[in-house]
Amino acid sequence: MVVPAWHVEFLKQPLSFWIATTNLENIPEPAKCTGVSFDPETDTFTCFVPSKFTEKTFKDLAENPTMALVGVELHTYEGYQYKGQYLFQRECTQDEIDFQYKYMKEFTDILDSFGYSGPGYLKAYIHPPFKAIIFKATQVFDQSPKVGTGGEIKTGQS
Amino acid sequence: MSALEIEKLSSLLAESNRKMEIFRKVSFELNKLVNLPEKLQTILAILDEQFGMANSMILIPDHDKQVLTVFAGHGYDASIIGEQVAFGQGLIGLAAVRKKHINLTGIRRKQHYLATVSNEGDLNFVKPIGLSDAESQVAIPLLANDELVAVLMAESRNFCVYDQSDENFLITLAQSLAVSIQNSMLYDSMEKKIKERTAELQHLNNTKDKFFSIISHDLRGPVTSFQSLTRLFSYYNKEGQSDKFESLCSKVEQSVDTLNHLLENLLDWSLSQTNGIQCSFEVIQLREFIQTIVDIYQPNLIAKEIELSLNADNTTCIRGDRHTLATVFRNLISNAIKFTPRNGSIRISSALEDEKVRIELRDTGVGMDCRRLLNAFQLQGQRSTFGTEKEKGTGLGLVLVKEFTELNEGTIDIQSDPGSGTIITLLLPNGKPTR
Amino acid sequence: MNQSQVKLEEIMPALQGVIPSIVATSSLEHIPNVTYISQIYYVDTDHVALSFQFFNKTIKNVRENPMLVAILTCPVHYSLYKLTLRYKESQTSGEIFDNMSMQLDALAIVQKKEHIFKLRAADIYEVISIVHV
Repeated sequence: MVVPAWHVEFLKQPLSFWIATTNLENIPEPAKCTGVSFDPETDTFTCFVPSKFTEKTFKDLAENPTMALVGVELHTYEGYQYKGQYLFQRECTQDEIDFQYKYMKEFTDILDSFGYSGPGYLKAYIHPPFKAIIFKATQVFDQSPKVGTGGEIKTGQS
Repeated sequence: MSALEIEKLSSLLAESNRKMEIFRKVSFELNKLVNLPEKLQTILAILDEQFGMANSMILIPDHDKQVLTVFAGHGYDASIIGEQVAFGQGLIGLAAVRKKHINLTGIRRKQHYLATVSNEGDLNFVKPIGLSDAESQVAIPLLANDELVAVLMAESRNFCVYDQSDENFLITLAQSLAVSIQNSMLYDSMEKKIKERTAELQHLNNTKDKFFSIISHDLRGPVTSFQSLTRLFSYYNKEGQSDKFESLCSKVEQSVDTLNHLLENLLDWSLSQTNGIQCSFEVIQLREFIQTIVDIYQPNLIAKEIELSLNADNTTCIRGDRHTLATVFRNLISNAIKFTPRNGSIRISSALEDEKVRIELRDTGVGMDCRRLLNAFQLQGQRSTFGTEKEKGTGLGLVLVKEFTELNEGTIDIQSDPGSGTIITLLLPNGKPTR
Repeated sequence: MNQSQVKLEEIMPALQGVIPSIVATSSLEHIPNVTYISQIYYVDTDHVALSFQFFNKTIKNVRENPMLVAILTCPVHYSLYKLTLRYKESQTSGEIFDNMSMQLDALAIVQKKEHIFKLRAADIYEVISIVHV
């Protein structure tokens, strides 16, 4: 397993999640996730993304199945980047849709407490329908802002 | 042209008109003849009304002390006028040092980010002047001829966003503010200088007036007296009454002494007015020093049958300039003799008091009323007074005594009542300090 | 998705650093990288500047492959804008560098951390396109 065990709990928090893909011309494409679930048994991430944001994402993945996911904690800026291979995409289940709304509410509540507009964020990011993009992580990198950041985390390290 | 383009142009035009209106209002205020703080307060109020700058301040730099002081403020609860920030400190200090405007938004998030990233725990702020929870701040240095005249700072608890055009407008406005502030400050500084020069000229004028008054009145007396005496000498010589010569000689001697004393005082006073006195400090044995001066006046004491006692320890010393202190004591003793009636007494005593020596001159003279006492050390309104036996003076005596006492780091005090005599107390530095 | 072109001046609020931006890059081996950046600075109608202190992979990618895509959020309307940028050069002096450096200094000095935070370079990017997402 490449994702450290303790990340399981970390990933359950209302982090800020973004994925990125790139085509073979190396033009990258970021997209906002409205929730992420992680399966530690298979090191697999399911990233929920509004369909509105996925046009180029899927084009990229069709050419180049490599993708990246970043999750950043809003208070401490602790963050990790997971890179791996795209597996497949599908429609979201109702549970997953409910999960996304719950996650986004928690996420935007935190932003609201910082002085931003929670409803503004919801308006920006929540756009049903949603897609579920599944990928298997092959590498984990420390993304927390500090000198020397970006190093790969091998299993067994914190 | 599409409707959207027309709407955009209309919006730009409205914005342009709004800014012109701000300029007009600000220019109007800048041209008003009111004091600078009032002017700046009004301008800050206009910027709030027109630009939404709810909290703003203008700071004036002190280049010597390297601080900026709040000169005008708008929108703050407590008065922040007079609060200071060092050059280079925070947004305001940086804008002052680098003479460039700075515009920051989302300050609290950015500060939190820096604090977190530096792993030094939570926010460790230098306490800012103004809002402690500002989200947006803009600081604009007001420059005239590349010289920093002031800093305009505006801040808000909201995310205020100034676009390029707003920033450029504020910077342009800042120029007219800078010139106006500089002119006002130059004007104030010139006014102050003019007042100082006027006072200085007035003082010099008074000195000149006094000088001429002394020459025209006080010195003429002794000279006229010499004239009369020479005529008398001539007359008695013709009449062959040489026995009268001796009494005439003693009168000549008296007149010479008086004239000499007057001239000495006049010279000393003139020198003190032009800062020509050079003091040379030394340790002086007090008893011996005063006795030397008393000896000069022995004939006068004998003539008026005045008893003078000197009660000073042989070991007591003072520290001062011999020449100026001699002038002090000469004048004090001379005055005491002048204003003490026949058969009176003068007592001079000394005592140690910490690092000072207290010297007291007590006479049984005519004393001074309140008015004379009040003006004893004033040059203005000084009129020479005649002694109990018509002795002449210049009115400069006590003025000189005070000036020279202070020159020797001492103090003087007079207590007097009409008919009850006068006590003059001097406190002079001890020539043998205990420390 | 609304693909209408937007001018840089129209999204000035998003360039104030109120809401951090996300940037994505790609290595020459087609491996994407995504990270947050505190602020994207306006330079002129066709250029922006980014400053990196800790994002080594992003800088490494951009030096090999100059294309970078950023998502900015407008703090006024919460609209999203996708900027496609091409890396042009790094500046360690000049007006843009000074202005960015001053902003960082103004924040760091208040916390007495000016010794920790110093701007290393201002990376200048040409704006290829801006779309309202």
